[in-house]
Amino acid sequence: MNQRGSFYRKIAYLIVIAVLLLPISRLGAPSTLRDEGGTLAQLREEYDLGQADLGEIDPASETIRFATLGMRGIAVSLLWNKANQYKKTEDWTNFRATLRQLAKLQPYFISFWRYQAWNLTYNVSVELDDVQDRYHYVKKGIEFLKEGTRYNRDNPILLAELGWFIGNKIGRADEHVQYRRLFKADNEFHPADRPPEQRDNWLVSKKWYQQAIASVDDKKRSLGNKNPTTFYATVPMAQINYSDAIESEGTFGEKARSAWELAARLWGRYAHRDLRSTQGFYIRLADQEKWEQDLKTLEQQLQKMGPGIQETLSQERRKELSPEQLAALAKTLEEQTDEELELAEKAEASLRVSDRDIVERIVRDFPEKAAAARKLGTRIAEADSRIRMIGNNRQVVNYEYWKARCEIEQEHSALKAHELAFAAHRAFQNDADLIQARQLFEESFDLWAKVLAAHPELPDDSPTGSSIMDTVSEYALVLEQLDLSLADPQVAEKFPLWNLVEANDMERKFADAIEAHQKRGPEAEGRGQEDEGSEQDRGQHSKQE
Amino acid sequence: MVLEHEILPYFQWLLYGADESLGALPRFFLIVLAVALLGLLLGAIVNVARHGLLRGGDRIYGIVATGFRELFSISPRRTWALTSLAMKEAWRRRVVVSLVLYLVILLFASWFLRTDNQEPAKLLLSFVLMATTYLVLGIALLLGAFSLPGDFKSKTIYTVVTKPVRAGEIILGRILGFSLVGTVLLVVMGGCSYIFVIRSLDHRHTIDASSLVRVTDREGTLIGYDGRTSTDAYHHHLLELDTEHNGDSAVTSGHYHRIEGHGEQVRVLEPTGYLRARVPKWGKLRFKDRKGVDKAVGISVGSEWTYRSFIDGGTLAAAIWTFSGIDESIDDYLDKEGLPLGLITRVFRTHKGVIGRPISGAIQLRNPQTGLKSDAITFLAKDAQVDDQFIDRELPDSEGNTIDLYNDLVSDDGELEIWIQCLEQGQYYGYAQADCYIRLPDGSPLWNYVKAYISIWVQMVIVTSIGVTASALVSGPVAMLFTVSFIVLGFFREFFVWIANGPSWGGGPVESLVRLVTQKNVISKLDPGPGTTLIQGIDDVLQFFMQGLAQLLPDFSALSTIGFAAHGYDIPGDLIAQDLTICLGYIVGLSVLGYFLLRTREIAR
Repeated sequence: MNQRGSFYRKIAYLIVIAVLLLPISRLGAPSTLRDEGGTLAQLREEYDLGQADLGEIDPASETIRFATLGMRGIAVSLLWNKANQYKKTEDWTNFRATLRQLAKLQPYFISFWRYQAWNLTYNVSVELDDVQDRYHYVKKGIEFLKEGTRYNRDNPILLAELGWFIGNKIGRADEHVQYRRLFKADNEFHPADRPPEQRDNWLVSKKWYQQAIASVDDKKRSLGNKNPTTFYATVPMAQINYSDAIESEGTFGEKARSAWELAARLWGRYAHRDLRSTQGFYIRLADQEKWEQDLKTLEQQLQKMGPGIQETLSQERRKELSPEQLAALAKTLEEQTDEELELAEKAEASLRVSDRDIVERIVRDFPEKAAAARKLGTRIAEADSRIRMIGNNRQVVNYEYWKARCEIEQEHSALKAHELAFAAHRAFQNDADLIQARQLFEESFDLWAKVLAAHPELPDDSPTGSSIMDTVSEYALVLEQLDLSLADPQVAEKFPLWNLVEANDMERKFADAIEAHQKRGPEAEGRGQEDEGSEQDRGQHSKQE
Repeated sequence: MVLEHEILPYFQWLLYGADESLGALPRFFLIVLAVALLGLLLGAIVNVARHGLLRGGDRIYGIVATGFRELFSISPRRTWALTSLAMKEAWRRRVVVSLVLYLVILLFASWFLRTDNQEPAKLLLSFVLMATTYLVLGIALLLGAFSLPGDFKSKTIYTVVTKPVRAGEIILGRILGFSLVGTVLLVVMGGCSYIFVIRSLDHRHTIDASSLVRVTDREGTLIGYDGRTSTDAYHHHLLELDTEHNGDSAVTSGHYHRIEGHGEQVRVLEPTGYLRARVPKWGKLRFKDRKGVDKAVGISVGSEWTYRSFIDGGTLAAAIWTFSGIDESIDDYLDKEGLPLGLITRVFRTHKGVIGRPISGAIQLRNPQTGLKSDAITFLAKDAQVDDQFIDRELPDSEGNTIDLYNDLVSDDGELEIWIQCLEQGQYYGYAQADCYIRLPDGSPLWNYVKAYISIWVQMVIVTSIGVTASALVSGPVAMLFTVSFIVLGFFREFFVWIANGPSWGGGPVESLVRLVTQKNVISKLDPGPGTTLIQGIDDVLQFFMQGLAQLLPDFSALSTIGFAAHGYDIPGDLIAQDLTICLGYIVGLSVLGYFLLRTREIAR
């Protein structure tokens, strides 16, 4: 009986197994060239989840992961620990060798590539003193990240990171002059078919950013939690940085102008791109003025729908104010005490009549217009929300400044001002020709004064101001060697950039000169000339128009 | 080259040890005595419990007396017979498979070892020596731990014990037999890995003669050529050749090439200098702080790794090495007279300085007896590299008078001080004791490689001895676990000793476990109470035993000489002699212990 029971039980098991095999076969059938396979294979294909879709399949990686026999986690933990130990004991050779082993074990772990590439490029490189050695490790980090992009094809995060490393580490580090030179001369890094003029780190970084953007736009890869506003700004910013860099290295004229022109074009294209905002809707940075116009029109329509409501509401609220608040409001800012200031602020807030308040009053007083008013209110709120969202995103990338900068830098005066400043720098540093350097600096400042006066949208404390300030500091050194200073009246009266110096003298290097200038009165000195210059420039500007 | 612990001269190490520690020999005898007393005590307890006081005592005396008699009458002939038997047994257990495995590892190593770094030789040497160590220790573990239990299981031990052999000879025979098999394996592995390293490092460059740039003097006469080689093996070399296109390439990735010109053809010869065995003569390091006051260590610049300490630039701070045994013969191997120095400087900048310009420093030589000092010799620090400096024999003192290095700056008892200062304010130089040395003639890289293998051999023999000894008492798997524990603890001995001595934070084993489980940090104290008292009480007991065990643990990380070979330094003879002595100590001690353990088995009585 027992034997028979056991036999029947085994038969039952076999039947259950056979039955279960049917759905498994349906679900798990692999795809072939002719057949699209089971459900799982189809889903894998649909969502690009197959290993071949992730990137390069490396036999070495596959073998080593298989060879760990399920102990991969332990092996990875040990190797991470080992890598940390090597880093601590400054054994960079073994550190890199350990990273290579880790790369074979966890090739699809994005954070690993980002973290360790950063480690090499940013942390290990600075441990060494020699610039060549530093560059070696900067490059090794970049190559490591590049290896990561081969395993993780079309990953926008890694591609953008690669662009960032090549652009910002090489172009912004303290050693950027040396790094950029080494990068251009690096035959081992660049593909053989890359022409010398394309071996600029900013241009190479732009290419990687373009690949990152293409992976999102064309391959529909996810950006994760990366901000689209900064992500899409990378390409025009790389071009801007390139244009800026070549000027600082002495390339001017048509080449510099066309570089800035391309930057302006790319910035314009970026401004017209649909960007997903944090609130879910899409915005375009260029659309702010359009939305502001729409808002104005809608508000006018609202005013027409309920004429005089705003004034009525304002008067009603004024009546509700306490005598103390009214008294505080009646005083000027200088006359107000702290307490009165607070009262006045609260009173002003309660007096403010919003579009929503007007809509609510129309709904209450004119029920026949309620539906139209509500619709208008919704449209106003939407326009308002878009304006705020665009404004916020514009601030994130300093939109107005870069837009203006790209336009200004194409102008002859700005190009010439850069060229003169560079020539002055060369005359001072290379030829020690102080007279010539001073003259060139002053010509450059005159041109800058005209450019700045013609473009009030470029504030004095902008990055341009800070960059001109470096030139002013060098000019001060020239003056010093000529036994002069910016505080001397004969120098100060010709100097046209006092506003800029006042706005950018963070280290208070020119505090005495500024004080002397202020005592003499701006009209007596450069301001007058600046204004004169700006008038001339405006005249030219209007003629051109 | 990182040298965490000073290497003592052999006889000082053997007899006296370093400051405040015992010599190896007295320590060995103390440990033997302690283990013997412990064994005697345990044996007495067991025998008295089983046979009563008188009979138990009698048995103990019998075992000890017989043991001593047998141990001192070990026959080399019988031992050799058992050694051959062990070798045959190992061969039958197909140890040769390990060689196949080793070759497979070498075959696929290139998947993980790319020589695109600045020290390819270091990477390759570290890899092959490390792989050999792990593989050979694994083989030793398996052979040692499963040998005797296998014989017990298959009853072949009966055939052995019925012959006139003694238990001590069985243990010693096994240890020697397996060690000899391991030696053969190591020789083959050493040969294969050396060829692997040489082949992996070998490469050639080409030079396009038309790309060489003519270098002329003011009159326009050709004085040589500048240029570069092709890029091969991830690097290229810069060239400065003479008018006949002859010369040496610049050093890149730790090697250079001889360049030979044959008319218009320029040939690049094989790489030179990848494998080196620099022979350093190390001195004693002390520091002076910024006010010129003597200090044992310099400044910490906040690095987690405290191997090096720093001196601040533009002050009186200095790193001072005192060398002894200095005489004129030091420069005999050179074609010029003076003092060849090797210097490794780590630079730490607190401000950018001039980017691209190294931080300058000064070297001064001083006679510790007379106080006479040479004038400062300035140098530019080559960060984290071996900077070969040469101090001329004739050099000026601080007043401009010419002085003789050996006659004026070396004291009567052969001592010389080398002072190094950083000259730039706000910048720092970092040094450890091994960072400055006098360069003696390089040793043979091949012999150095052999010495690295001798260190691996020592580790293998120790593991074999532990495995065989443990297997005399317990079953194979238990013996294996026991030996594995020894190996693991041996590799982390320093950490083990640190825990055993009561660490300043984190507590002992039980306290650490409690902190882990309760996710408590390692710094804050446990809440006082009976629980904490109990935990710390248990830890005290455990730490007592750990301290005892630490005396028996072989320090595998100290026995390893991979660092020397990989960094291109000669492995000191003193170190090899110390390792061999430690190995002998383990063989003797464990053979005796193994003898008594085997005697506890019915079969071997």
